Amino acid sequence: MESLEDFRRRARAWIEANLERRDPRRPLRTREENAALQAKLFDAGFTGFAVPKEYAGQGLSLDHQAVWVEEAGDYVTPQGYQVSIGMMMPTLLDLATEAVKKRHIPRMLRGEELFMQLLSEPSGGSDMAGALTRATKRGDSYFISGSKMWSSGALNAHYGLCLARVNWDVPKHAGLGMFVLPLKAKGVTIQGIRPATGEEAHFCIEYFDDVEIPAEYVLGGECEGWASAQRLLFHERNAVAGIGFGLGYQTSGERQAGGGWRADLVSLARKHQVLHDPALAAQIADNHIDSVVGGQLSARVNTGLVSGKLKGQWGSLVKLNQGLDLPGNAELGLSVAGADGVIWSGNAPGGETTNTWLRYRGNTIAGGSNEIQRNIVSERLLGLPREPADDRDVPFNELMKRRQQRQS
Amino acid sequence: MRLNLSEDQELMDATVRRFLEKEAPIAKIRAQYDLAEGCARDYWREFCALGWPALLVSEDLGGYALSGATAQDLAIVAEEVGRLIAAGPFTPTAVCLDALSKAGAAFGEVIAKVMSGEVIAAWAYAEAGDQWEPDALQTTARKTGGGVLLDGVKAYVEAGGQADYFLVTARAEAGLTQVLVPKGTANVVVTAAHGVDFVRRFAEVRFDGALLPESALVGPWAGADAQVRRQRQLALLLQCAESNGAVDCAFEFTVDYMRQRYAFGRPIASYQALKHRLADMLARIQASMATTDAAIDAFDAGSPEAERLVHIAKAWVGSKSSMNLSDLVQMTGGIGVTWDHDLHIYERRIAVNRALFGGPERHRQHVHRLISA
Repeated sequence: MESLEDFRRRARAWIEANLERRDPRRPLRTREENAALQAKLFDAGFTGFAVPKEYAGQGLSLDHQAVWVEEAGDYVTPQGYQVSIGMMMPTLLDLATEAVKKRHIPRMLRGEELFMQLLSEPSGGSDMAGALTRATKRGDSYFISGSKMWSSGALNAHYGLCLARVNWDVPKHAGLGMFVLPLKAKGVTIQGIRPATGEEAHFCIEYFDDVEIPAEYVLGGECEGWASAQRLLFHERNAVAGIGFGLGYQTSGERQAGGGWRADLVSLARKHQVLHDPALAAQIADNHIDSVVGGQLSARVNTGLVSGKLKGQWGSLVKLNQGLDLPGNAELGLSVAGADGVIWSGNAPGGETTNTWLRYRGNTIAGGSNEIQRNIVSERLLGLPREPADDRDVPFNELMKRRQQRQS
Repeated sequence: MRLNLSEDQELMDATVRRFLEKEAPIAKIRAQYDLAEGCARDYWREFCALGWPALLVSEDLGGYALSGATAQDLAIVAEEVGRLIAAGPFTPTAVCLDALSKAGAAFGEVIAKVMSGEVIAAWAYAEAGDQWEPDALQTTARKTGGGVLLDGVKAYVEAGGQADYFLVTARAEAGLTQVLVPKGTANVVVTAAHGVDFVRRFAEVRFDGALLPESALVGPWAGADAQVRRQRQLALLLQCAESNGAVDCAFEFTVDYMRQRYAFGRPIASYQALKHRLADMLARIQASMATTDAAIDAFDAGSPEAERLVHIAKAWVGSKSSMNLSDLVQMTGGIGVTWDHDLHIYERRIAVNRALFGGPERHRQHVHRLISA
């Protein structure tokens, strides 16, 4: 395998000759510009560093990816692939059939196909294993009916990894399958969900009416969907934490702030001329400290996963830390902007701090809420006992009956 | 503890841990509460014999390098010291050796004795009224015909009562000056102070026109500002590493207890009301280690970022360590506020570390100064 030093030299030379330097004043790139840039990286051999060559990857390692991210840090790199390449691609690598991997991973890496996830449902977000979406086998295909919610980017995506119930006569975790669902297929209806900020829909709700999926598009065994979902969530948490396959796919704003969705309150305070306000100074400093330490924690966990000192779902700890940090950041943003953050004159856009405040709870909920992360950290990392649950060993049909009886 | 230690570092860590578990278990620490000296000289010599003091000394003066990153290596020892609230003037020894080694061969004899633990050196730096800033120091050094004259009062001097030498940081007109003062020098009065730590002892040291020969100057006359800032950074980093070890250990034994303790028919560690707080605490503990290590790396590399990162580390570790310990007491329940439970021994060390070399609020102010510059 190419040494990290050789790779660094090669990557640096290519980057300097082929990529633009980052310019914060330049507007965000369009989807088409990002896709062209992703294809350019793919064609030059700078995507899929830790992906085997038979799937059009480089056959290198995550350490090479980390080197790439270091070298490309000051340059414009494609945005919008965190979910597809950072989370879904490694899930496919782990679980998909050989034919599916060979067919789709090259297209994912080139940015031609976008994958996303279809996990939560209107009837349950955190209790993902309670899925009511149904998968029925007829002939060599499965047919999916039901609906999914809170899926990011479904309007633009080509495939979704969908958790659906295959067997209703076994306990809830044991009856699920994970399917690669074609979002452009017959029977799929997608609607955007407008967020509280009033911005363009990012999350969606999808309705499936007998959507056909060939059997080779099952991830893991027919009833091993829960384990497959855990694998997917593992990659998701890592990507959100900026580690593993997802390293480097966060937006530049997230990277600058040390791996979160935080506002840069030092700049904001300067703009509003309150950086030295005695009522705010200590909090602004504390917020800077939280931001720096959050990035340092993420780097530490990454180091531990690479060295092997940490094993398992440590991405959850980083995500939890972000979730603990965000409320203070958003709230202090309101204080720093003051009245000018909620009322402004003229036609220029405004209210950014209020929008951040309206938006950030999405990040302490999505991808497993703070409370779910606390369960994972305490049960999987610390090995503490679970709370008793009355749904674990009961057939799902029976659970549904009990619920109806209680509600009637 | 950092997560990519070299084999040499792992070995040193294991050696130090084995030594402290055998020679300084928490039961022994308890027994030393009434000991005026805080720790026995024999123990200190044996601890020094493990070799860690030599990491601070250049090779020509008998020192050696483990990884070449001094603070990184020493932090491994500091964290183990913290885990067992071990006794002994660890940080003063490190700081004094750093200063003496940099000052050169003239101090070779003292350096050798401090390295072996035969003598104890204390850093007489801070002054009464919680003054930890180099700019706030009022103790003066003046050159006279006969040598260097020291006037002033140093407070919170760790191991001051046991020290055979004091490294005194004083103000000359043109800048900071450091002087090595042997115990028993005329016009130097050492008064033991009271403190909350089980085994760490502090003193006030008064200089009323103490006269030292010019050969006692450690580093250049009026040119020690950078070295003093370096010493303060080193002390802060070792303190953070020590606090991290203490909190990590208290966390471990408290979580173990919470697995054993039953309430309403199941272990209290199974209740989300408690285990969710433990999850938050694990994030704070790991983040404390992360920020300490990042600051250590910047310090060892001589990076210009070191100043900001050290202030960040102390601001974070100082406040989170006391928050964590206090919450561990709450989760332990009534027994956690008794003398016989070990938690207060940890709380005491954490409270001392929180305050020494400036509380988190002071360092937060520095962070504010640096980010608004």
